[in-house]
Amino acid sequence: MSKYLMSLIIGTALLALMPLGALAADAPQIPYVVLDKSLSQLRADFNANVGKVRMLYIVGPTCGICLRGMSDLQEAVYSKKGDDPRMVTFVIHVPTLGAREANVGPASRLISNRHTTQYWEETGITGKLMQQVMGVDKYVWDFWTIYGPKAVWSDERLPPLPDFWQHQLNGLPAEKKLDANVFAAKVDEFLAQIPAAPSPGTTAAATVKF
Amino acid sequence: MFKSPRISKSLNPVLAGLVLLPLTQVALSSADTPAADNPAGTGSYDPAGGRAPVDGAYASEVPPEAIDSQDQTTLAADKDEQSIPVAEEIDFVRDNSFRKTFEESLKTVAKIDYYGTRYVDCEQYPLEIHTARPNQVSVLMKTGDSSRFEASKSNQGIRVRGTPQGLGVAEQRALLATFDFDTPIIELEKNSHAFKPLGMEKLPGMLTWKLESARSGGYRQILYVDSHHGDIVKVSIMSAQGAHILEVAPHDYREVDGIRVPFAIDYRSPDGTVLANDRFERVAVNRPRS
Repeated sequence: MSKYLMSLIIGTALLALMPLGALAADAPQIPYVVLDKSLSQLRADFNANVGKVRMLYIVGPTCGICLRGMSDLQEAVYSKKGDDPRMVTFVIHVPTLGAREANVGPASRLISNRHTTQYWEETGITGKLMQQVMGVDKYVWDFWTIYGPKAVWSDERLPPLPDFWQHQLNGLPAEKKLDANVFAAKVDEFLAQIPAAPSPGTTAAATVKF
Repeated sequence: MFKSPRISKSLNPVLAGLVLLPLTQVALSSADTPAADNPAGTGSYDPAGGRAPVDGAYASEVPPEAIDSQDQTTLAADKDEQSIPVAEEIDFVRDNSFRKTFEESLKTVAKIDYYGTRYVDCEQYPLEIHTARPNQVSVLMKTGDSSRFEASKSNQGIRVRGTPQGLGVAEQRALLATFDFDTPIIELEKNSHAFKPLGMEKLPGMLTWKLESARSGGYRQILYVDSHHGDIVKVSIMSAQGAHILEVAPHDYREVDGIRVPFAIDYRSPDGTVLANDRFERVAVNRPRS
């Protein structure tokens, strides 16, 4: 193999090994992952973090109310708890209200947390699958969930039923409307189930674009 | 002037690899949606929006009522790097119920009087601001034992007498000219076309809707509306040419007689220098006798 080719491979490999957090901190744009319709990458990331408290949000990156939800959770959860490695977040951006992939970057800035991964899922099937899981009669987005440390995504397609959820949709229970303080308190309850000792973070390792 | 450093030949392929990687990621990361000419996820907002839909996959699982517009024509944003493009901004601001009760109550108010103090550096001055419908305002400030500052806006126009503490005369005039008795949300109900939606922006502790409107006297203003309570939390006043004149930040909103009013206003120059702080001890809401 030529030296040129070897150097090329080394350069590529070096960048691929850069930690996600470093990328997020140094780049003005938050990196994000593009999911295919199988959601296999999300499922893998979810299961790679069994033993931690996982938050999974389905949002529209051009939906002002969704953005407000992200902002509220930044204030109530992430800015207070910092980069607690026991807590991992998956934000799935779906194409509601005309959103495009280009909208993911600006919206992603609203959550600043080392153990948060942003995803763009172009078909919107995430909301449809969550609708099936929740057994509701409307497309599920602007939806905010918590999974406890034992939750496993075992089904090939459907995500597991959330251990706690809130929403900002019409037609779902009013008492379950997103309240960032209530949500944060629930995160604390789940975190209490895990020893506080920091463990090496197993953040979502995926093909990240930035 | 910055000179680009020379790069050794042996390093060049490494850098080439670094450059190539993002391109390979575009291809690898989306199995069923190959990258188009415009690789997305690279930063700046592009209204055309990322990759073109491929094979009808875009939003194929989203019901029509949640899609709104596929061509992004309803997206609002300005060129400010901090702005986040959003859909249907005017509708969200106008139709959200967060403030309806207060807005309806404000419509029945004829006058609001503020009593407090203006703080400028280490100095403080007794302050009164009297506002009335339609858009009348007068500012009275005691600036010495026998001196005072007076400024007003009425049907007769704008009058300024004396030296406004903290603010320059031009800034004070801009403040008066842009004064609105009603909130932008009430104005939106009357004439939504007078407002240009600019997306959302995160201010410390809160996400805001950004709206631009033209004001009398050739001024323009950008309003930052608290996305929870509908309070105006920041106003950037600009000249007709777009030059920034003054930043006004009302805060400490409290409910008084069914409406929300700020008990504090901070004034900053365009470079962020604090010019003055108004603090109100008492706010009187007056309604016409029925």
